[in-house]
Amino acid sequence: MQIDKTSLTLFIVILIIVGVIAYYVGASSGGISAPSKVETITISIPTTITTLITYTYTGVMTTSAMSATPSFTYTIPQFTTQVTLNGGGSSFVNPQMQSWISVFKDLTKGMVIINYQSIGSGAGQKSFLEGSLDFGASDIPLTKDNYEKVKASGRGFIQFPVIGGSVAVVYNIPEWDNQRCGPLRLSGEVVAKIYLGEIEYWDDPEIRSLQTPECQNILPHQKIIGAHRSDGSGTTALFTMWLSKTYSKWNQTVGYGLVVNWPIDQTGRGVGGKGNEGVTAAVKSTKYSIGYVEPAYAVKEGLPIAALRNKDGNFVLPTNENVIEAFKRGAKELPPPDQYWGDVPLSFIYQDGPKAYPIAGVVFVFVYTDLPKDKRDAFKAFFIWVLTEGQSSRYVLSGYIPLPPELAGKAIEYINTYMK
Amino acid sequence: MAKDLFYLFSLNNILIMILIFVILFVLIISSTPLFEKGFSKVVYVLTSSIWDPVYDRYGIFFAIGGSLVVALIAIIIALILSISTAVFIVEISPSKIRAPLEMMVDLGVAVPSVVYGLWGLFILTPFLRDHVMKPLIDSIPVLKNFLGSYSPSGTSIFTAGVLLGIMIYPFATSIIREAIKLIPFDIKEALYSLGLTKWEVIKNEIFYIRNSILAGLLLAFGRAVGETVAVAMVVGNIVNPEFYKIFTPGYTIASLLANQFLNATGIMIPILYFAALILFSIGFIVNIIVALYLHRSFHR
Repeated sequence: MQIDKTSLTLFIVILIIVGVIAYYVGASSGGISAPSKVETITISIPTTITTLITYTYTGVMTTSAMSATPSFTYTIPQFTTQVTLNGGGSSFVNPQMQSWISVFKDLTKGMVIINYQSIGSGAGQKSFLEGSLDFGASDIPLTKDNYEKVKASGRGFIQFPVIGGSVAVVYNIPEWDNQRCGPLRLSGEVVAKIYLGEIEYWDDPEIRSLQTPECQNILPHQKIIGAHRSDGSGTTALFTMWLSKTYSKWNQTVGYGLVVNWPIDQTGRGVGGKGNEGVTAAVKSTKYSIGYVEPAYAVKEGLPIAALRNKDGNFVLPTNENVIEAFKRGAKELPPPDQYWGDVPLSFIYQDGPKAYPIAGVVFVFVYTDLPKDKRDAFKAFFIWVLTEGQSSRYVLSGYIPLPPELAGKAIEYINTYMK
Repeated sequence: MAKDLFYLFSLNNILIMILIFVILFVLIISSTPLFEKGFSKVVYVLTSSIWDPVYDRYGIFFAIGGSLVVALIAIIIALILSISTAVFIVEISPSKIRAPLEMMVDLGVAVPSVVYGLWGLFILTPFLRDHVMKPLIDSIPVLKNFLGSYSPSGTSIFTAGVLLGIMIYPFATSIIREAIKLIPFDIKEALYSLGLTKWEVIKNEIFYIRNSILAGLLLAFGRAVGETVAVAMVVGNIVNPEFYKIFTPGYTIASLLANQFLNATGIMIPILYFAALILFSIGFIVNIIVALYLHRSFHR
């Protein structure tokens, strides 16, 4: 191809004109929004904190037989040589993990370097199992298969929660007046019936009976479109656990897992979206749809969040307070860290308590207890910091929910007991 | 001496061949847990349409069908777009803007597929839903039985096909364009001397370069059937046994892999490798068919 000067100039001129036109057409039609202001959050760390961190929990250790001291003091050891820890797994926890890692690197004056790869929960478990990573993180505990493999290997291992999250049920009903009626009220049974295809219209008596009397007639006679994740995700696991726990027919026909076989797809009213952003986009662009996402995505895109009926019969929203309430109740049932934890997520779902939000879950970290000494020290220092200071509002990013002391304390106890 | 080392260049060929066999080997080894379950299990996976990890029941027929239908739509669209673009650039456009036009079409290859995917999701999908699928189904309701009722979100097998067609047409265009340029001037002169009009000449030229068009489409097909990111965004990602109803959401093998691989456990992993093996085989078979056809037509 021969390019002479005139044609090159012409090309550039055309490109600029097209670009300018496209920008203005896009901006005026709202197709391309102006780039939003990016806020850079810099966390400054006072120098005094690097020498000694004390964090006191009261009322935690009294329940444990490990130690007689009622409060807990931990000092980050001085690392004289550089230690590198490799971890990976859950993509949900990735932003939070990176933020913790960078703060912790500063705390140890660059001596502890942690690489966390966001490779997905399944891959995280697999890499941990094969030993290609020092620790794994996953939205669900080790699966039965993986647990048995770890047990068969004979190596000691522990798992513990590090941070919490929840799932919001979102909806797109143009007729619904959020100002007057408040958030739409839903129960697990009704949502299960929607995703089973049993409830077809928004004005179904079962949905109407959940609303306040003056708002029952607003619901339109429109078919419900059910959006769900198409890729495997912890969000789906938590959501389907909730449906399984609240409606036995769902448990018998569909069950729960990272991916399930959605009955609503067979009715032609199902929509699959890849990732939280995929489901958010599907619900936002589809009238009369319902979906489930991490609350941060719903807030970011301005999607209304439904209030869900909890075990005590109250309708609650996924606020930090309500989700932490569920964690507090679930913490009592936490088994020892080297046992099969398959049922642990279920213990946070649909917990009793007047305020407890019914769909809550935690991210799990797995580690072999026979790490080399320098790595083990770095691991302990990092995660004990994460479970104490790291849970304070200063370090927890939006979209994540800090663990209550009841739960974090238990995790610290496990680390200290099993990784001496 | 330097001249003698020229043969080193042929090593590239051998490396590529080894690489392809290694890939094939890995795919087959990784899917052996499935083969070990017996022939009937493999047939079941190939012919049924179900994806239920909770009960460990898998069948990838829907994805194979979806891949083929999406690729077919993409090829048809790319064929129309690329032939007309190539002819316009070489034969019709004024010579001043020819080079800029060529550059612009070639730029289409340089756009990352995730950008195509986002554009497809936010602009093409609603457009096709409101201006193609909805009017078509509303005005001719009978079509619902063949094409399926359009999905409310707009993501569908058809949308994925159209997006892919737009994505791959620069590939096909450059090959067809170069082929038109290579037509000997004698032939053009001969055509004009017969008294043919410009359009008739172009028609004959296209017939003359049909093998190059086929080669161009083959390259495009390779990309279409394997394209992952963009397709996963607009295809709808729903297990759809009736994948021939192109207005409904579906899956392709590539988008199935993209969606499921990260969190795959147990028997799902060999089944995904097996799906990749099928994808590989589809590309291989299509290549062989086209190669055979080209071989036959050159030696006639």
